[in-house]
Amino acid sequence: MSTPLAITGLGIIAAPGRGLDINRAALGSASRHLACYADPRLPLAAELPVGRVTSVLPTPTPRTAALAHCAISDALTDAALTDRSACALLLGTCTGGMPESEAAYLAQPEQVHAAFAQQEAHRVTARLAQQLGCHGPRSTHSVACASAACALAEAAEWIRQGLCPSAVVVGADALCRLTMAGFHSLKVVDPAGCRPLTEERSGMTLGEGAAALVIEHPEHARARGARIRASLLGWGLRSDAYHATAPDPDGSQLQQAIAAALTDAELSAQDVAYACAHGTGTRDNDHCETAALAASFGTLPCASSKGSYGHCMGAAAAVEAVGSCLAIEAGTAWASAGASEGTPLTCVDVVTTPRPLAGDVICSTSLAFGGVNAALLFGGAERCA
Amino acid sequence: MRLSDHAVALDHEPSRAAWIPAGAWRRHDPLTRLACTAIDRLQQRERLGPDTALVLTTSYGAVHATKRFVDSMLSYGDKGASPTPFTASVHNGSAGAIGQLLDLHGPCTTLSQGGTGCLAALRWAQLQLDAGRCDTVLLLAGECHSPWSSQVVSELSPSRWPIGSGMSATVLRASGPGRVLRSGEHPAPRCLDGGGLGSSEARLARDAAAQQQLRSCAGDLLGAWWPTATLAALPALLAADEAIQLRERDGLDHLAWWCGPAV
Repeated sequence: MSTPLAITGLGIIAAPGRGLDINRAALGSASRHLACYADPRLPLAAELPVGRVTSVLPTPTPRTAALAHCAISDALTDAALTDRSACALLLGTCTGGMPESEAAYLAQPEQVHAAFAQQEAHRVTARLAQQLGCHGPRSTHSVACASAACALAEAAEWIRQGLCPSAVVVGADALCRLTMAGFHSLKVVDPAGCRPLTEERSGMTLGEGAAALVIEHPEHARARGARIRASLLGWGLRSDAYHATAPDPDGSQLQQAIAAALTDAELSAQDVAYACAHGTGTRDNDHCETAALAASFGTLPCASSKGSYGHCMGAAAAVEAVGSCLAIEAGTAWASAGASEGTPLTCVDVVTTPRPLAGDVICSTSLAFGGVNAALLFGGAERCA
Repeated sequence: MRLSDHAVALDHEPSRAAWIPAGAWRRHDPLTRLACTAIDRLQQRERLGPDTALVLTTSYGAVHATKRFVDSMLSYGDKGASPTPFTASVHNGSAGAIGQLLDLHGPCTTLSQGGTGCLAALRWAQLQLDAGRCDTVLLLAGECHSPWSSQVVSELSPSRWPIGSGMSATVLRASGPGRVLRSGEHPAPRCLDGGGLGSSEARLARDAAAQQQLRSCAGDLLGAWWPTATLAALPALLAADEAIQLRERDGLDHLAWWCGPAV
């Protein structure tokens, strides 16, 4: 049997704010944190709402690194992991240092700017590992909106196969002009703010943030007396091989990713109590994702946090992983923010007001450009016993 | 893990292979085209099954598309930017495109790991094979610079090698015929160093003396250098039926693998 892994630390900074309490409250109330604002560095945000982090960030740039630094340091503190000499660090990100390098380029396109040196995503990982004293192995996944899910999958195998006893996995992405202009060019942004998993959905809303999870081999966690918050039970990854940006409408590969995660965890579909969906609010994503969830689980309670946070891109799967762990701890199925503003889809059981969680296993799904489908299974702390 | 097949495409404008539709070839970024050329040279291309995993490791990604998209923002404003280069600029866009061309449905991931990109990708490939997630991994490692990105990299990270482009395609299997690939140290007579930008002659000489190994750097073998060049340089040393130590460094990161004789 694949070893369930102990999740001993959580950290998050996103549109609702920094810290577990404020984000637990945001998830519990399904509150909306999407707004327009005027910023010459992000012109489209004046007209299109975004989930923007307004918390004070530490000074080091790039912004993605600053966001990640907040989430990781909070997660490590939460885990009380003081000996980090063998702790691995894995980052999932789309944009790396793009906000800084695009600003420099757009201001002076003919110049070579020092900011370009921070563009490569792995430099963010290296900087964070040095600052936070995580001296184990490192990895940087840039797999669009499934980046953090892929980083969690690799971390799980690193620990299971003995490469390291513990790992901190962070997903982080800052808002940038390129991303906003890109999604605007694809005509998939809802100017009114996204309404995932509803019939009336008409697009996504971009967000930014970082979320981190400290994952350990359960024996390592027990040996140091750590509090186990939840467990990572299994993962699955499959590819559509269908289209550069659009998901395969029948959701068959997402279904297979879910099946692979269930096999990994030695669980059946009936064991899963709730789905923390990718739920971007685009017509295509929500159609194929709910088709896959319905085919895998029937009318499973299901929600998306993107109506609250916006779509945090490479950080999204980590934000949803932290939300899943908090849901398991609270014994609550969070409601889908924005779902009550429309007609919820009926092929799944869209949660419109929080309700008790009928079990302790949550499936979190991610879909990404390039046809990547990811499924992660989270469970209660006692599954590591 | 076995190195089952291996091919390389170097710094030139590749031509379209018959298995790639002309329309797709026109749409794809030069990074994807370079990867296709390397894949076309694999003897086992047609034997890659639908559950094959794909790992792409690239530090810079699709730089042509990224610059084209940002330039379209400069020309037409944020509201008028072109969607085509945007979709290609996404870091895992090339892996997705190649998966679509080859009809691969296994796990598809893209790493950005700088000077340790090849060996970190080998590590991820081995973990997936060992976990039984697939029985074959297609590992693509490379960069495709534009004149602009070459200039940027040259100015920001001065190297003793010129900045080049290239792509290696490696088929990895859990077992079967092929050369052995394992992580760790090996008393091999020769060592291939990825030759990260931070490498200094002094350190290379010290390591070589300490290990009494004949050391080659990827840049020396290829005539140019890019962060994920190690596997592209490997064929130059693979002729002998002996083990080869592989090393990569980036900052404080240091990864070591070795490639043994065929079994």
